[in-house]
Amino acid sequence: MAMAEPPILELKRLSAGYLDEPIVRAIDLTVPRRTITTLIGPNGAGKSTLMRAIYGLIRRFDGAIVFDGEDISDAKPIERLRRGIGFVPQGRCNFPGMSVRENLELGGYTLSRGEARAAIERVLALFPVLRQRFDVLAGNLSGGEQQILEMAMVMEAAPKLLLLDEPSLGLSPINQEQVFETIRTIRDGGVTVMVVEQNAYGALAISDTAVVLELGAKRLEGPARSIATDPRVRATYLGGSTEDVAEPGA
Amino acid sequence: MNVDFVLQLLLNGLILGLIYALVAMGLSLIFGVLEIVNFAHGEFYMLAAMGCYFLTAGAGFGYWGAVVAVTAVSVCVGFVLYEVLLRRLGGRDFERSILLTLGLSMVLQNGALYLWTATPRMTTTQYTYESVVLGPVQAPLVRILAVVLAVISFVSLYLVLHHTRVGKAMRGVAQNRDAALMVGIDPRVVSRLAVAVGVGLSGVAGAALAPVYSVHPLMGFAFLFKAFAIVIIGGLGNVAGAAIAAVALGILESLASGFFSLVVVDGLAFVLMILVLLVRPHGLFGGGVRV
Ligand SMILES: Nc1ncnc2c1ncn2[C@@H]1O[C@H](COP(=O)(O)OP(=O)(O)O)[C@@H](O)[C@H]1O
Ligand SMILES: [Mg+2]
Repeated sequence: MAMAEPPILELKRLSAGYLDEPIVRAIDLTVPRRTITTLIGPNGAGKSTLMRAIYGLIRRFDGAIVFDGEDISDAKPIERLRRGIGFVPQGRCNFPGMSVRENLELGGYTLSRGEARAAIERVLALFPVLRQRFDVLAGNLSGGEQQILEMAMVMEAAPKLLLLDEPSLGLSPINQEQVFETIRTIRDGGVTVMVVEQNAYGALAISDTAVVLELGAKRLEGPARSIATDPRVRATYLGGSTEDVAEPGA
Repeated sequence: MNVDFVLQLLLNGLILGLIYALVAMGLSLIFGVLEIVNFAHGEFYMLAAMGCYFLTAGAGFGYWGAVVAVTAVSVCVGFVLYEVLLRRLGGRDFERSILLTLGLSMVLQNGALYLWTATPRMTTTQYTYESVVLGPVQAPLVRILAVVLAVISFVSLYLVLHHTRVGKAMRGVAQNRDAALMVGIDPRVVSRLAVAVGVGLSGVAGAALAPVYSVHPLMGFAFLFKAFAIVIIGGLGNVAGAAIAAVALGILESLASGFFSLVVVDGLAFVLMILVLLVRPHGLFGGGVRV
């Protein structure tokens, strides 16, 4: 039964970029439902570009994006959000001059009033830390809290696929741990997650699949565990050391 | 020095400040949401004031009819301005947006000069010769009504920005465009509304001013640079900051006009702007974030 479901996302020779030339080229990728996929690669490899292309923010040159069995190659971002793709961009992405309450209200912008109210309750149950900070301006939250707020805002639309671009960037180790824990909780709730991470060990530890991107092209793809132990990947992206491998679990 | 005289200056300053505030807040709102500096903003204020004159002088409109008609037309002009000219501009087309709105300003200003010449005109309405006694000061009714119109506009704008979904979305786009896209706010819908509201506010300003001071086709352009100074003093994109700076400037100018020549008074805004830029580059109340 579950086997008959199409994969949540399929990229078919997708090329996308900003100006005259594609930055990511001919990407083929199939993402099964209810999994976590980590995207790793050096700075400038095109990881963020690929995520923006999946959410429809940038120009597609060639290829196709199939989401939930339907071709969405030409859909606008808002249309993709309505269909079930949520995207939390890299860096701080909230409304810093508004309270957590108002941020969450805008998180439910595509929903009806009643739905939005229910969605806020749902994400507050999922991220209880936000309830304690409900009337604080988002700009005054810690980095970790802001990241969680941003995930919560996007989760209100109940996406089937959640794209997270470097969610642990700039966070303390404890906050990073919290973010990874949250990602796992989200996946356990039935959402498929695709995450770009510079903290590759932390991300690989919670992922099912890993994809290595280099110079805009897919280099490697495989189960997270085998990528984490692949000597080429280790040497290039994981600092080459075997000592600080984060053990999965905890 | 006599107290009545100072009170009179204060009232005039308040009116002037509120008119500045209406224009500057619209400018600030449009900048905050679209990242576009609307150089044509002063011309919409001028056209509204001229419109108010012609409606009352030529078309037999009363005070309220003229105010409502001018404001409604201004809002519509804002929609059209966005759809026809500004829609295709993004934040990266900053230079293009300057040339486009500056060009529009020239066309409107010279068109108005061609049609109506530079002659100043006084708008008379059924309220022109009425006045109100407020304690020690006697004030013409049209001045009091200008204050009332401005206050109604501020309260409405505040309610829209803070208590409606689309208003919060407007503040959202001004605070973080990427976050707006993340939660599914359509920047075009919000931008269109911001321009309509912004031009609408300059419409109210023109309509409130016309019965108080004389109007002419050159009144918008000079006013615009003062409005820029106010927006910068208040913090770019900070609507509330612009309002406070505007009222303060109006009162300062009016008090100064009681004692100094007009040239000094007109320079005041720019001296203050330069001082603020030196001491607090993001304006007295901080930029962008707090629409
Ligand atoms: N807004 C943009 N406009 C033009 N080029 C961009 C833009 N953002 C990124 N790029 C280019 O795309 C390439 C990939 O960048 P990015 O996707 O951000 O890499 P990563 O996220 O893997 O570090 C880089 O060469 C970068 O210069
Ligand atoms: Mg990136």
